[in-house]
Amino acid sequence: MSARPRVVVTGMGIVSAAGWSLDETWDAIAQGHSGLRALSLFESQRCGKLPVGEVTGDPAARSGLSGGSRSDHLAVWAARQAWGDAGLGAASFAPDRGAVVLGALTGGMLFTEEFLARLHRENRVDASHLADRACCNSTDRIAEIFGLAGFRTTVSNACASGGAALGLACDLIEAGEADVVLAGGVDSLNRIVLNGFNSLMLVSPDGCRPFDAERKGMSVGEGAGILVLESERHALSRGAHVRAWLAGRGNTCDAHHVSAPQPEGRGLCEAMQIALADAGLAPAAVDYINAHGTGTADNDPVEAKAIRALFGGTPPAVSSTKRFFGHTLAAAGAIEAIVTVLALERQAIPPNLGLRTVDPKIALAPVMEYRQAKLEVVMSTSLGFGGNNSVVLFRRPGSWGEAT
Amino acid sequence: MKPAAHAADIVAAGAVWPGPLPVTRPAPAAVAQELWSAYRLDAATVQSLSPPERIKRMGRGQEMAIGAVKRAIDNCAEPPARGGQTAVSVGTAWAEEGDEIVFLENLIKLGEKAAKPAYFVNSVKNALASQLALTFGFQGENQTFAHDALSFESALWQGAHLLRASRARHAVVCGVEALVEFQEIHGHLLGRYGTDKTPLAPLSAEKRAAGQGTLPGEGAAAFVLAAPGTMTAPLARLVSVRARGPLQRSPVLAASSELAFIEQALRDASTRLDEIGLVLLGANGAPDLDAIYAEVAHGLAAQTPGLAVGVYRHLTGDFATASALGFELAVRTVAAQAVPREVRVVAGTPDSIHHVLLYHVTNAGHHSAIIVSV
Repeated sequence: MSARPRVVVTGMGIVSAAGWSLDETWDAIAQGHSGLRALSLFESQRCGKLPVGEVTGDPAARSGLSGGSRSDHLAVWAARQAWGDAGLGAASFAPDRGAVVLGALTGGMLFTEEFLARLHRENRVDASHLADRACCNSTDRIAEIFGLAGFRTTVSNACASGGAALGLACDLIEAGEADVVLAGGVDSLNRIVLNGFNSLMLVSPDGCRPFDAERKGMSVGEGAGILVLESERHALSRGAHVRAWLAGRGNTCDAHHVSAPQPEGRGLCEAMQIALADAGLAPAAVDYINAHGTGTADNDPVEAKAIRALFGGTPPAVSSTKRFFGHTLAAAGAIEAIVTVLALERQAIPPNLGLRTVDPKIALAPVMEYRQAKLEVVMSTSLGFGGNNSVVLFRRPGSWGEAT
Repeated sequence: MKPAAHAADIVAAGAVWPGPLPVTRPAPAAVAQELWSAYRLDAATVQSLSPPERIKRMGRGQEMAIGAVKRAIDNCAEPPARGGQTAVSVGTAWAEEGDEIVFLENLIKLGEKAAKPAYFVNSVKNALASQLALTFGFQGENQTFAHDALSFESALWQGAHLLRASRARHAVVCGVEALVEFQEIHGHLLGRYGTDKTPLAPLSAEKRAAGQGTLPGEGAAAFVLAAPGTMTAPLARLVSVRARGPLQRSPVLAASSELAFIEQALRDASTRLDEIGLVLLGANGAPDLDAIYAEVAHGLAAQTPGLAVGVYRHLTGDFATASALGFELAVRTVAAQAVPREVRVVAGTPDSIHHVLLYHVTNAGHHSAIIVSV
């Protein structure tokens, strides 16, 4: 039996409240600049003053896309960056060997909201944009623009979608279904998400402060993160620059509650174990975890318990980067995977922005200041409604043997 | 010729079908002054599908999905175990869009103070898959695919892959869609749906000439899959799933490229067209799509004279994951070595049915070919 092909990262693209590019995002992280600010995208009686991770500027102009939703524009812009970063061209692979897997939840929800508002307030209908409301539209647009004629799908696993999409991309490459996969996640701000989380009393009035003793909840954000994943052999054959090896991934479901995580973090712990086993590594090999760390009362202690259960008394460096861009829902797993790969490349740990005093119930010491560190193996975790847990693990180039 | 390797054993199947005839209701007054028809389940049937103590917190799609999975499990000699060895893979284009709309309408009509958390939680697309995990205690990988007419096919591919990769002992794969008024409004405004009160008649030349559109529908089907070769007497075998999308928006569909797509799917599955005992088409009664399906059927029959061709969407109406119900019929066909009587055979005479090819294409250009064998 032939060895499983290694899946490597050869390109990345990102947009969030923290910036429109990899460099802008990392600069914000290194300088400790939060992208959270007051909502301006639409009016909201109850949520208008809540800090959100809103992308400023004109996503439509950046994407160059005619029509489509805000999510489509964010996704296409991130995909354009990733495509260019990977040095891909039309001749880089056969069209049917190129795939797209995107995590997405709300798609063109703003169009649905506008349609319903007109229907109920003005008693008139305007369906002109409704066809763009589907969350799979962003996936289709990316496939069309880059001529990716192979497998395509949209993963909708709540806030674990982005991480799960990366895992599915690995599945496609390992199963021989694709040579190159554009994978990641996207979501944009809208009324249902903001009011929905606010109705659950999960949104912080002064911006999220993950793991802090005085944290008051999450901050909703928007953005997109796209990674180019390909088999190592394919990447090397075309002379691509390998940014990292996606060496392991793990997905589990708590089957505990429709929205709350299992209190002991058993599902997340198992997902981390699966990711490590997938990579053939022991827990001690992990140098840094980019935690889901939303800043809600439930999430943070659960995540800390899961980390302590797996890593014991000497856990790796941990930080949540949510205060830089907010919780970007289906994009979160992908955006944070990109930040994790950037950390690996730049040999530096992003700070847990907003953290002043660690909650005594959280037996972790998240990294509070940006600092250089020797990183070989890094991990990113995502948790979502329905008890979904998704973990991806990356290794630094040069830390493994010949291509498989 | 050596038998084609197959992707998974199909251990059991269960389905929740809409009523056999379209049901008529008045259109919302703000949109149209006419009667609209749809294939739908009545409320009492939907509520009977899931445990009574849970109904209040569930949307229609969740109840339908639970009903379909329960029926599949009831048909299992070795039911999938609770815990991490059973994965859940759900395809649903719109999930609980009904609850999403209620949440938004409350905001619009009553103001943001009326935001109801339960509707928000249910509006998240994986509410169906996570409800299956909760109800049946399945803690394996839990995936939701929301990609129009590729949703169920994605779930099926992923479920089979998890088994082949030994990441689960069983995979529960489900395709489900719950029809809500908002979707009917959208479909009628786009001119996708007709106002015919009579049942759909896919590939009927008379209906096509009359220019009627299709009718909306809903339903759910679920399947318990096991790794290939692990079951001594599976119901059927999943040979392959091929699902693709177009490279341009609003593509012009052509029978020639659809035939090429099917031929590629057969090649990938190491299966010849003359091995196919029944081609089950997703023709939905819409004149434009039916014309393509008819040409495809003609093209396939030209290569294999006497090829049996059937249709089933007169049983389901039109919805993104109707292929799950088509798949249930395909599984039943090979399991019984006979075409279920509700399938309408429009060409050929099926006799020995070792393989069934299930083929779908949509106006958006999403197309799929699934091959099932004994």
